Amino acid sequence: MISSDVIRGYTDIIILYLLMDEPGYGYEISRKITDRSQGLYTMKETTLYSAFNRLESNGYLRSFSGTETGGKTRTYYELTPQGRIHYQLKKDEWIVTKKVVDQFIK
Amino acid sequence: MDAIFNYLDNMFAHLPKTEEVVRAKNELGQMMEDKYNQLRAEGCSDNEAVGQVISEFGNLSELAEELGISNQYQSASSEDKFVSVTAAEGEAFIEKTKKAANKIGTGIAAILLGVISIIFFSGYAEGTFSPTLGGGEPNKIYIAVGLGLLFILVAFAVYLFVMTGITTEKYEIFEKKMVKLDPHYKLIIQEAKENHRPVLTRKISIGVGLILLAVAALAVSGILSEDNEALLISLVCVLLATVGVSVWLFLSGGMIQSAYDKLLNEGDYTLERRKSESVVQRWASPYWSLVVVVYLAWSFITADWSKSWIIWPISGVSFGLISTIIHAATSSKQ
Repeated sequence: MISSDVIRGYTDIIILYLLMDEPGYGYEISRKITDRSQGLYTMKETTLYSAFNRLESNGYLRSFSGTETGGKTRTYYELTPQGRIHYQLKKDEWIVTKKVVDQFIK
Repeated sequence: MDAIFNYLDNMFAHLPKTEEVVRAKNELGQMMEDKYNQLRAEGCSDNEAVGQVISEFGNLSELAEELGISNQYQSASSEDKFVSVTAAEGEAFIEKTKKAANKIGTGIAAILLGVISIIFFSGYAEGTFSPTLGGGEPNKIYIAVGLGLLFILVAFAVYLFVMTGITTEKYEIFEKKMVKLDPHYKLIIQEAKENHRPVLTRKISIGVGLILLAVAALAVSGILSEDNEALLISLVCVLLATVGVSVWLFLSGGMIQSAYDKLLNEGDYTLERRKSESVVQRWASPYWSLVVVVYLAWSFITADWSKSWIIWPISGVSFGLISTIIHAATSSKQ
């Protein structure tokens, strides 16, 4: 299990990545996280919602209410241009972080 | 499915209904519903799906800042009022409680049996049961036998109480602090408590019914055959034996119930009640010690064992009255 402390700094990058190509709604993102991490990490609902909220108030996401084909009305989230910039910054930060930590892994 | 929305309602029950809080609740509910439906579509049973959704819900304190409710979470945790309990600890606690209820019930039954024996033997010594034994010196032997039995049985009971006290000591913290459970385990305990409710009701009704029958038998024969002391003493003994059985029923039902209440912070163990309960507890031990002293002093000075037992039901009812008054006083202060 991944400790929530370790991954906390990277919830933003995970969510922004998954919204890169198209808007998505809460559970859809949650399931993609579990699938893409091959079940190694499941983001708790409160963590996910808290991240959506924070990213939206920072202007990285925009939310709108939308309807799936033949389905329910849901809140969708979409990446803003600032969001894309933020993703690039977080990505660069991670590359450096990874390089540093890797120096101490045998 | 309802279980999920009940859970969510519970989590949000104490929060102010601001726009942010309502939005968060709707969004979280939507995600949980989607996840539940997906799990069901993948072949999970209702229980499995509910369990997984709730265990992956997370913790509302993560949202405290966004929702503007951080003060509430701070005040709750900073005063260190909570103790976290895992499923394994909870199960061990319930198991210990069951055993403790049996031991205490046996101890009380032993004490009552001792009281029965002293009543019976002192009646016997006075020739109540057979006229040929009336008066005379050697009958003191019977009193000695009765007293001997009483002391042995009381000693046995004290041993049981002390043993129970030692094994349950480490769970005393559950009485003082609010308990925090893993959400999934909480759901299991809620269900167990619900299943236990009819059992508790049945045990209490049988116990009360038995005591009422024995009291009625004693009262009726007291009126009809006032002079038949042998019959009256026997009925007092039957009444005490009945009380022993009923107390055992009350304990085995009630202690489990309060174990569930402690884990769920319900009933007598809500935040307000826990405060007034500790006042009652400070009272209880000197109170009952005093009752024992009065009972023994009265019995030994007057040698009237067949009457002095009346002190127990009287002090029991008074205790109930006093704790009710303390609860009322404490809650009105708040």
